[in-house]
Amino acid sequence: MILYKSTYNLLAITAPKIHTDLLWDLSFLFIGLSVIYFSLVFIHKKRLKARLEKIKLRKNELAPMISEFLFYEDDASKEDKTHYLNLKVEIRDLIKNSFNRKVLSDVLLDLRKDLSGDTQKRLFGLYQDLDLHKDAFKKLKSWRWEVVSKAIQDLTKMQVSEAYGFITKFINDKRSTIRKQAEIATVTLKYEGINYFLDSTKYKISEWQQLKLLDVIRNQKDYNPPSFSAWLTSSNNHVVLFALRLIKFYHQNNANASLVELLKHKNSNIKLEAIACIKEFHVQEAMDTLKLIFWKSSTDLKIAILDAIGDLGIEDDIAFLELIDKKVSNFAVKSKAISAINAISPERMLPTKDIVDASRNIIPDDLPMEIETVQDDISEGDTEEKTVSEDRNSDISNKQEKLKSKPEVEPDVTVFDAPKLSVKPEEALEMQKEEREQQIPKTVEDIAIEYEEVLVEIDIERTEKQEPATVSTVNLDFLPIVMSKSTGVEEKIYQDFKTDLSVVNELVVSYEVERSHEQDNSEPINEFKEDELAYSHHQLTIEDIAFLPIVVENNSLAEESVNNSSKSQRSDALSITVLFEEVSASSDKYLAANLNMNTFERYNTPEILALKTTYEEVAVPHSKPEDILNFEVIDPVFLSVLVKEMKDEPMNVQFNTNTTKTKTDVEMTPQDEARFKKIINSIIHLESKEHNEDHNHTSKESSLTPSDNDIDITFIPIVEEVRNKEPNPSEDVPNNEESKVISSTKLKIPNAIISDQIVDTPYFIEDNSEESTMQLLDDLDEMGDEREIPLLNEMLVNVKYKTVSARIEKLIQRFKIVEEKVSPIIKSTKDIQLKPFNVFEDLFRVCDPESKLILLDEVAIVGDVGDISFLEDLLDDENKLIREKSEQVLIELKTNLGLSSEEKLDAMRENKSQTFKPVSKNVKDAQVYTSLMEELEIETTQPSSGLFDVAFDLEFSDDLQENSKNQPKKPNQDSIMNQICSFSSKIINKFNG
Amino acid sequence: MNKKRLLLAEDDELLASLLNFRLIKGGYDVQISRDGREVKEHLAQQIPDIIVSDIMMPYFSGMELIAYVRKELNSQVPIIIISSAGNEENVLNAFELGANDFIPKPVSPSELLVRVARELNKT
Repeated sequence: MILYKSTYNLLAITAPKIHTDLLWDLSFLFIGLSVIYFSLVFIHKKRLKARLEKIKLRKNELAPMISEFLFYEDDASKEDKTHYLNLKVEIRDLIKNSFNRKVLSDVLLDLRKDLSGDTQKRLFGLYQDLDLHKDAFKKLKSWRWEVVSKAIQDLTKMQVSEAYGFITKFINDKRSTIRKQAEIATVTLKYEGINYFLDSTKYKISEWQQLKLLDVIRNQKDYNPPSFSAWLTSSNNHVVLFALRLIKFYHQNNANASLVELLKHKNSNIKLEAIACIKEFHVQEAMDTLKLIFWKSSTDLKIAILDAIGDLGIEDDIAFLELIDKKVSNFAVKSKAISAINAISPERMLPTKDIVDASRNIIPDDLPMEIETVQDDISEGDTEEKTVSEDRNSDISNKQEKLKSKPEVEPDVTVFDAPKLSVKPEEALEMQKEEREQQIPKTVEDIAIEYEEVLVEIDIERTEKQEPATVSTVNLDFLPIVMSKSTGVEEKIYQDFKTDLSVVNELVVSYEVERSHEQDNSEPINEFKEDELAYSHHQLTIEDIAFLPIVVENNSLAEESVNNSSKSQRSDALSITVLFEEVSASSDKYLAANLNMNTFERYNTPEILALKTTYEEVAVPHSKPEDILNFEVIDPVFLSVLVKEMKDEPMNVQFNTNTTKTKTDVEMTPQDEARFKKIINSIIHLESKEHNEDHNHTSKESSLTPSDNDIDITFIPIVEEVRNKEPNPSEDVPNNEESKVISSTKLKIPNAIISDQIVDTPYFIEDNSEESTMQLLDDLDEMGDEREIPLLNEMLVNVKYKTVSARIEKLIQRFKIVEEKVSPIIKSTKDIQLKPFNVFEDLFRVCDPESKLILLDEVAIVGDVGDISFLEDLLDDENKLIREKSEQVLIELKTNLGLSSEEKLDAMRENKSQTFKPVSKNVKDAQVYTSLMEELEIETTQPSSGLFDVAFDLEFSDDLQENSKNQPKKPNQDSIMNQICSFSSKIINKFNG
Repeated sequence: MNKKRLLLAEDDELLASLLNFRLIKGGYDVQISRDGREVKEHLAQQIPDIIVSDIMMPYFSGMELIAYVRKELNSQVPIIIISSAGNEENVLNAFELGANDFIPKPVSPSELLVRVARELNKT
């Protein structure tokens, strides 16, 4: 227990003391409040119940009375009549009480919904006989919208036609509930209410409200509707729309002109309703307007218009619908147009979806059944995956097949059209269709003239061998793009390539396959056409055929195209390393070893082998078989045409033609060597510049930078022989410049043209050669100045060549001349004395004239020699007062300083400037400081007044530092704070003289 | 002349009172039932000459009443149904169960009298 007490402090967990009396008081309070609350609820509920009971009792009392009134007949007996009159007196007494009136109103309103016929009319009469409607009139004046709305509703239900005039005032009420109730009441209470409503309403008529109004109107007995066309000219679009619906409902076909005019309405709902009316009333004169507004209408409107045209149209309108079918891409509109065509002319448009031309289906006897099954599956799968638009394309293709299947238009020569690139399938099909139509009437001779002789050779060769046209049976996926020369497709494709592909070495392959007459009726034609159709369905992208070389028929076109390409995409092209590989099937052993030729045997048809292709040659060095795909070699033969092109355009590539051999070793002609040396010179020039700029850059890094220089060197042939060749001193004979250039194999060559092995060689330039020295001198000439003179002198001593020494001497002379010109300027700038700082002058810049005058007074008091020049400057001030004041102060200051002559004044200034020399501990330090300042061309500050004398030390001497360590710190007299503190004492001293 | 006994099953007191007044005036001995239980009690005591019933009633709907009379009581007393729910399904169900006539609300008391008289004349 003791432990427990000691462990836990009971005081800490003791609850705060609360007076129990307060708790009791609060408890009683809440109990009292809850009793009051529940009592009130109970009382209120009891009152309500009592009221309901009272109402129920009253209703039970009133119900027989009402029944008496409702079923009273004039031919009743005398007793009944007496009873009726007594009841009338009784009920009139009852309705004097508002409660009874209210109950009676409710009873009549309840009975109204359960009774019909004559009894209902009697009920309405009773309501008005008992003047219950006057209560509703009073409610109409209420400010509460729900009361007004209820009153209008009651009057409408009880058919109080007297209330019409009161209710119409609410038609344009701001409160929508009252307005809508008033609209219904207006239309309900009187037949002409709809006229008034349509004339006067300014607000929107909602769709629901229109339905309710229409329901009221159509349930009115003996209702004679007005001509609603009168409201087609309303400025309220909702009124026009409602009027159109009423016209359609009541079949008022006397407003055809208005309906046609409303087709041009801005509101699409009105247009739709007008179209519905036109369709309902068969307004033929609306056809032209319907066609006019069609193209700028929304899809819903287009469909409605087409629906109307389908109903009203005649044969002449079919052309318009067919135009829509062709031009409009929207599926719904297209479908509606087709249905409209068929509505006008049944069976004109036959089903096309998934319809196969069965007449052209030939069951091959030799084909196994499995293949057919697979083909069917594929076609079915494709059909399922097709979208609706593709189906439409297939429809078009079916039409094309129909056209092609006509015997009189079957061409003798089949031309393989290249798939259109970046062309929409529909456009491509249209183009193909046009091309085919153009080609159909051509004879064999016409086509043969257009195409190259090579194609004829293919045909001749095939004819000689009496082989069937196997081209159609070959899988043509591997083939390059084939196109007609005369069509614009080639140009389009080429433009796409130019814009999309960032390649320079494009080879446009253009060839055609011509088929002889003998194979016209052979079976593979169908297969080929199917392939062709497959091509037409497949929209090739550039990426799909990016692997293909592009071959043009003549080199001039290639050159021109490459020129254009390089000009337009120079930035891209310059960063590309152009390497070429030979494409032809060569006899190279490594190629033969790595490529499975059997896979290409099926392409080695006579036609393909005889195709004349244009390509460039790639020199393949003898290296390891595994490196055969990694080589970077440039054909030296290519160099022979390169240099010529480089003059105009560095990226101009001339392709070699008719080369089938793979050249592995290179033997340069003298002309090539000369050109090669020129290029090497340019490289040296480039490298020297780079060397000067950044010695740390490696050749690999510099070669990666896209620049024009890179372009030049990318065409330099680097052969292993040259690469491995050691520098031969014998070639460094001064007179033999060409051999010297070739011997400089250690020069840095960009990576674009050399292999990694060369790049790995250390970067080093031997400056012993005349060429390199001259290069260096060129750079010095361009970028050097007089500081290079010592270097040039050193080079002059060591140089071997006369031309170089002469060049060095010229450079030295030039730099010396420049130095002589520049040195006086530098000296003159050193002699410039900066104006000493003056505190008054500084303050003067920001002061107003009054302050300046006060400041001048201060100058007169505390000024010194340094302020005299400032005061002299003020003698030319614009302000006259300042001029006079400064003159006065100047005289006063001079008097104070005791200076009468200019000489004395100069002497004083000189002494003052000496006092501001930097403080040094010894002469040596001062000399070092002075030399440092001179070297840095920094002018020492010139203090203006002794008042602000601050001696700054640039460095602390060792003695001072030691003393400061050993001795207690004293206030530093030279510190700024001390200077400021001593400012007041100095002023006082000045006052005291 | 014996008055024809008419059982009026209607939960709306006002309408029941009004129709009662009119039917009495028309020469019928009318018994009013406010809900299904009262209807059963009345039917247990005495089967009327004709029954005019609303479909929607507490405890016992008009459809159940028809089924009760036709199947349990095995009576062919004419039954006229009055309902505001005058959709086709209700009407067909009522006739299938054995109702003789159907009068939609709002009711014209004069029309009701004619129909009641017609049904009684049939029997």
